[in-house]
Formats: sequence, structure tokens, C-alpha cells
Amino acid sequence: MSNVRLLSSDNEEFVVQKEVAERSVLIKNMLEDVGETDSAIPLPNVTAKVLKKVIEWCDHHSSDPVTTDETERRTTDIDEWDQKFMEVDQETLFDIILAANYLDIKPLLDVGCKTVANMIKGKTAEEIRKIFNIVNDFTPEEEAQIRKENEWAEDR
Amino acid sequence: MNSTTLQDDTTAMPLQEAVYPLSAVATPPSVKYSSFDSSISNLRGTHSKACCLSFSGHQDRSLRKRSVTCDDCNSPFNTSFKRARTKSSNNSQSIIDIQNDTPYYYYNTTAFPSPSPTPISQHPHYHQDQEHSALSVHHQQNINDQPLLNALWNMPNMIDTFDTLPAHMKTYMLFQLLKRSTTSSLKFVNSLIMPVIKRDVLSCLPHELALQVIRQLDVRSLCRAATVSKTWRQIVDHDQATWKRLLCKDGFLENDDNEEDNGSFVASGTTMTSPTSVHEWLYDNDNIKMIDTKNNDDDDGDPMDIDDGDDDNDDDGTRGSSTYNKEQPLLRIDNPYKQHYRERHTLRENWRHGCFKRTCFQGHNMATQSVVTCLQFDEDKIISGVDDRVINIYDIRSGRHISTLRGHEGGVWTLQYIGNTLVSGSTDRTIRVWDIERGVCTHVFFGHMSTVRCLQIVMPTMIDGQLKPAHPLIISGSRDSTIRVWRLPDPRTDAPFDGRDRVNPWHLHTLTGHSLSVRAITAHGNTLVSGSYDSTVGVFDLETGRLVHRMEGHAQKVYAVVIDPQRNRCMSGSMDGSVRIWDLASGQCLQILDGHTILVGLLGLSKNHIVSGSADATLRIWSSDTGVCQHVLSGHQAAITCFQHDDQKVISGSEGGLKMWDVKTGKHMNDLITGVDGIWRVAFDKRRCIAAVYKNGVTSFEVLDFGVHGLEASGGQLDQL
Repeated sequence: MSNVRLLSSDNEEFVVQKEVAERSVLIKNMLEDVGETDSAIPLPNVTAKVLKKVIEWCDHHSSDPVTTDETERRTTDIDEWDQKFMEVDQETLFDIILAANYLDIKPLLDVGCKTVANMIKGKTAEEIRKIFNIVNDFTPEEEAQIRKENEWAEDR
Repeated sequence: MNSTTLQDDTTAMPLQEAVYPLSAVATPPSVKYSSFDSSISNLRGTHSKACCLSFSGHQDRSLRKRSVTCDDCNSPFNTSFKRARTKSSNNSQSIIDIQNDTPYYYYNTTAFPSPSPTPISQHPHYHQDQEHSALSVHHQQNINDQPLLNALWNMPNMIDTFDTLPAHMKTYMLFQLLKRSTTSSLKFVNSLIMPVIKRDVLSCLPHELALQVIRQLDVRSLCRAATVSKTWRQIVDHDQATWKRLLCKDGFLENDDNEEDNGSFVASGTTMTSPTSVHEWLYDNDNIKMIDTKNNDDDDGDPMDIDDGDDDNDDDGTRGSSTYNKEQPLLRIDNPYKQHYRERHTLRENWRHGCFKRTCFQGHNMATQSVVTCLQFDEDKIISGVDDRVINIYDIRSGRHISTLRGHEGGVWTLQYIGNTLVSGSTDRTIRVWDIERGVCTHVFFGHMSTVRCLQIVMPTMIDGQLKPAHPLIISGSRDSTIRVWRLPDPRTDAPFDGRDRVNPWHLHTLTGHSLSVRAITAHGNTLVSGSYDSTVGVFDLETGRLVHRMEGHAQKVYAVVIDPQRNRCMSGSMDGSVRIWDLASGQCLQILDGHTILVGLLGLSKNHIVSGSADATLRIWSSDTGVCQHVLSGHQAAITCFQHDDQKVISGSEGGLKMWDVKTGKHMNDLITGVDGIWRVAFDKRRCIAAVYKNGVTSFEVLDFGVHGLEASGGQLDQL
């Protein structure tokens, strides 16, 4: 089993099993293009901290079947391990999503997006603002208008 | 990196604030001591600095990540703090953040000192506060403590030292400081940090990733998300793909298959409403663009880049006209899918909760005791047949009587219209074809020897790549035990025909095989199914006019038939109290659905359900796959006189009123009409329910318009849903 060396943006090197690293389509394609190489693959958009997290995920999911079926991924909920894995601060969650997008790890991106969605689901606007520290930039009149525009979706 | 940031900030600040007298640290005029525990109150300066530094560390990070992140993360600070700058003797920079009046942070109650040279002299002020006097005394004692004073004098150096440390050592030092802090200090620090490490993920994410997030949301969450902030509203309300997906998921966007299904379940027991030929522009509109923000001009296409909020609005053509600008008033975001969803959702909720506007008007010029025998309506008009020879047309909105079609010499017992063409059958043995708009009868078909009891217009359907039947047909069933098949004339273009003395060119076949009155007929493609008082169910080929099967089994008269082309079956309801399922290919009886105790006079069929209405005052819902009885709807006091159903509900009429039931659970949902003597006929479409009712010998029409609750303005669009 060959290993791959990955270099984070802050120059930390990670040695990862090839099949783990290849959960990233970006890396997989790079390896295919470059062929066998001893030099580390630079990932200028991922810091060591996030890369470590991403590798942890890839490692856990290294034996997952590769799902290309969009709908299948969409309907399945977040499994327990992933839920635990995503119990991070919002900054990290955000970074993981960006990294998953950059590295092209669709299932991880999916889990990230679902995690954010779950933070939103069932919450009132005010609760959402609190959770994400968002300033309500509507004037009272605008807020009344906007609420009226959307109140139809509330339970009767 | 860190120092660069600070340098930039610092250069903008006035220099006179660069002096930070120690005395200010000792006794800030506005500090409430309760907010700090005594042990650290004297280190407040350090404290503020530490917090501040942790922020600047964050800010540093944000900057690296492009402006929106930076803006986002700094906004709390910008609003909550005024920055004052200090320059200590050795010229290294540091920031003191001074609280201002934003009611956002804990800082509010723990005001930080502005640099003011007001030392111990002010302390008596605090002594007035009984609660804190002890603390203050303690505090004063500490000030006189020589080692502490030395420590305070050294503090600027400590801060400078901290500033010069590399990042990881800063972290270590903070860790050491935090380790030594009390719970309340930690809480304080936490209250500062928590809002900062939170981030407006949805706004900060590249647009297509934000869309991936909201794609996971249910409707209610989506609508709430749209009210969070202007940016969130933009993201949610502009995303047509998500709303279209929801429309499909919740069954609001019928595809062609569904429409065909609905059209082909033709029941004879209930009057059909006009087929939905209107194809909404929406269904055809496939050019739904996923909003793509990756085409930023200034963007190198790097997914790790975070788009700046402002330029996000500019870069996208689809946002064009409604580009959001803080100064502009809130613009309406035109998302036809969300709009459509809102209408459909509201309409469904209105049905579910029985929210409707009721209008009632009396039948036109009706003799007492006249019976409304048939009823059909569309978004403009209601057309009803009466047993006293006339057909009346009413305006559906106002109830105004538009016209009366006269010509039949006996009671009208059956009618159906498509577009401008109306076909009616009467006890006078004729079939008449009418031009609805002109209000004239253009064709009269003679031939039946007795009352025309049932008829149907059969429109060509594409089956196996062929239109079947080849032309639009009229099929009519009569008490003379025959069924006749006619071509459907177009009252506008075909020459009028009054037929008495000539061979009728419209007549195609006379179907024989029944020995008694034909009570119900229905057809799909070239297959016609008939139910007769001779207790048999007939299957005929419309093209050849031949009897295919004569299916025996019912013990008594057959009153209702429906056809299920998908499963190649038909069902029949009989006076013997049973419903039978027949195989159209073999003519075998597949199943006998027992349960009703007497006459099953009404049958309806949808994709998943067979519904039967009986004189035993109940309706039953059966699985159309297995024939298993799923629900018995009991609540009516007398025989069921009429009903209609769809995928959601059953609406049934009997003596006393009109009831609505949930087709899935079988639960009674609503009494739509009460206090009447009876319901002659009922029909509903997506928006309205129309019932012909009688009370004290007077027949009137009730129009229940469910297009309420914010849908009033939708007007005609709603009718085409």
C-alpha cells in the first residue's frame, strides 16, 4: 500500500495512505496525472488543522463505496460517526466545507452542508440569527413585510 | 501578519490616545465591580488587552480569507467597540478596545475604562454601593500592596512581550493565563469569544455551496431562513432550483404521466370536471439555471476563495434587476417557483383546514322539487342539468345566471362538456350537442328508444403510439339496453344536424348485449365498460362495436363502473352491496369487495384508491392494488347521494350536508355544508367545491372557494393550477 504526502498551506506535511487520500477527487486526479511521485502534493488552500480533520474523515470513510448517485446521498441522513465528527465550532465547520469543496470530496461536502442545514432546520429567524451571530439588517417595516411574505409556510 | 494588520489599523488612529496611564487601569469610573471577580479586577487592562488580541488574531485570519470573511467577523467589533490606540514606550502596538453603546455584548455591563487619570479618589463612589463595598475595600488594599503595584507597572511590558511572541507561543501564553483564571473570568472571555467564532456560514460560503445547504431545508425552514437577513433572503428567494424541487417533491408540479393518469380514470358515477388541458408555462419552462457564482471576474476559480458579499450580487446575471443594495428599499424577489409553491401549499392547507369563502345562489327559474341531475364546472362557469328539461349556465364568481339551454323535451339526466362543446342526454331519448358560447343546440341525435341515462365524451388517447379512439366520440347508454357510439361534432365548424328524417352521419355503432337498462358507462381508448340493470358488466370494443366480454357475477343491478387502464381492470358497484374487480383481458372476476350492506351506487378511482359510496350511508376506501378495504367513512345519516375524491380527500354528500374526509387516513376532516335537506350533486377542482343542494324544496348552488388566505389576489392564475 503506497503512501501519499500532502503539504498543507502552512507547510505541514501529512503522510496518508493512497486510498485514503484518493477520497479526494482532486488528489486522485492529480495522482493520475502525475503518476508515481515522491514529492508532496501542495494543498495551498487547506491549513494543517483542517487538513488533519479532513484526513480523519477520509480515513474513517476510506472503505465506503463511492456513491455517484446524487439522490441516494441526498436522502440519507448523517450517520452517527459523521455527526460526532461535525461537532466542531462554526469556523472549523466552515473550513471543512470549503476544503471538501476544494478537494472535491462530495460526501464530506454533503455532510457539511447537511450539518449547517440541521442547525437551521426548525429554528425561528431570531434563533438562527443568534446561532450564527447575524445582524438583523431589516428595518422594522421591511421585517414586517418580509415576515408577511413568508408566513404562509408556518403551521396553522 | 498579525503585526501588519495592527499596523494598518494603528496608523489611522490619533496619536494623543497613544498614552495609556496606569491610573486608568486601576480605577475606571464606569466599571461595575460585580462584573469582575476581585482577584482580577486590577488586571483589567491586561484583560481587555488579551481579549483584544484574541480578536485581532481572528481578524488576521479573516483578512487572509478575503474581504467578506473579514467584514463578517469584524462587524461585531466595529459595532461594539470604539478603538483607541495606545503606543507604549517601546513602540510596539497594541489595541485597547473601548466599549460603546451597542447592546450586544457582555461589555455593556462591564464597561472598559477610557484612559482617564482618575485614580483612587473616585473610589468612594463605589462605596455607596453596599453590595460591592467589600470588594472595593479589598481593591484599595491591593493597590497599596507593593508587589501588586510593581506588577501593574510591568504590565505594558507583559503586553509588549506578548505581542512579540510568535503565534503558537501566544496561544500557549493565553492558555496559561486562562488556566489561572476564575470561572467568572472564563465566562466573560467566553462571552466575548463565542460571537466571534460564530459565523454567518450561509452568507460566507460560495453561493453554490450555500445553495447546497438550503437544498436540505424543508419549506418552513426555508421561509424562516428568508427572513433572517437581506443576504439570506437573497439566497433563499433567488434559488429557483430548490423551489422547483420542492414543488415536485410535494406533488405540486404534475408531470405529464400524472396528468395522463388523472385523465384516464374515468368514472361514471360522478360527474367529471373538465379535463386539464391547460399546460402551465411553468411545466414547460425547463431552462432553470442553477445560479452560478463561480464566474467572478476577479476570481481565479479557486473554490477556497470566499466571495465578497457585495460583488456576489454583481457577478450574477440572474440576479440582475433585484441586485441588493443596502440603501435601496426592499425589492420584491420574483421567483415563480416559490410563488407557485406558496399558492399550492396555501390552497392545500385551506382544504385541509376548511378555509373557504362561501357563496350561495338559487337555481335559476327552477320549479320546486326540480332535481339537479348533473353538474360540471370550470374556472368561469357552472353548468347543471335539471330534470325539468333545461340546462343552466352560471357565472362561477358571481353566481349570475348566464344562459339557459332549451330544447330537450324531457328531463336532462346526463351531460358533459369539453371546451365549448356540450353534450346532453335526456328522457326525451335524444342526445343534443350545444355551442356553449352561443347558447344554441347545433346537433340532435335520435336513435335511442328510451331515456338516455348516461353519456361520456371519449377523447383520443395516445396508446402504443396510436390515438385511440381515432376521433373524439360520444358514447351513450340508454334504458333501451343499448349503447350507441357517435362521432363528436364541433358545433362551430360542423353543419348543424337535426336528424329526424335522415341517416345520421355521426352515428357509428349500436352496441348490444345487455338485456336491460344500461345504467353506467365509461371508456378509455377503444375499451368501453358498461354496467346494466341486467346485473352484468359489459366490455365493448369501440372501434369494431363488438361485445368483448359479458361479465356475470353480480346478483343484482349494476349502478356504477370505473375503468383502470394502468392495471387493465375495471370495477363495478351493484345493488347487491358488493364491488367487483374484473380483468379486462380475460373477463374474469378478480376480486369481490364485500362490506357495504346495500346498494353501491357510486364508484370513484384514483391512482391508489377505489372509493365506493353506498346507500348504507357509508363510503369505503379500498386499495386499488390489493382491493383491501382501508377505511370505512361513516358519519352520514342517510344514503350517499354523490361524492368525488382525489389523492388527498373525499367529499361526499347526503341528507343533511357535505362532508370532507382524508383519503389516506379515512378521518373526517370537515363538515363543509350542514343544515340542508340534501345534496343533489357535488364536484370539486383544485380551487373550488360546488354543490347543488336543496332545502325546504328550494334548490340552490353553494360555491366554496378555497382560494383564500392570501390567494385572493392570485386571481385567474390560481384557476389554472
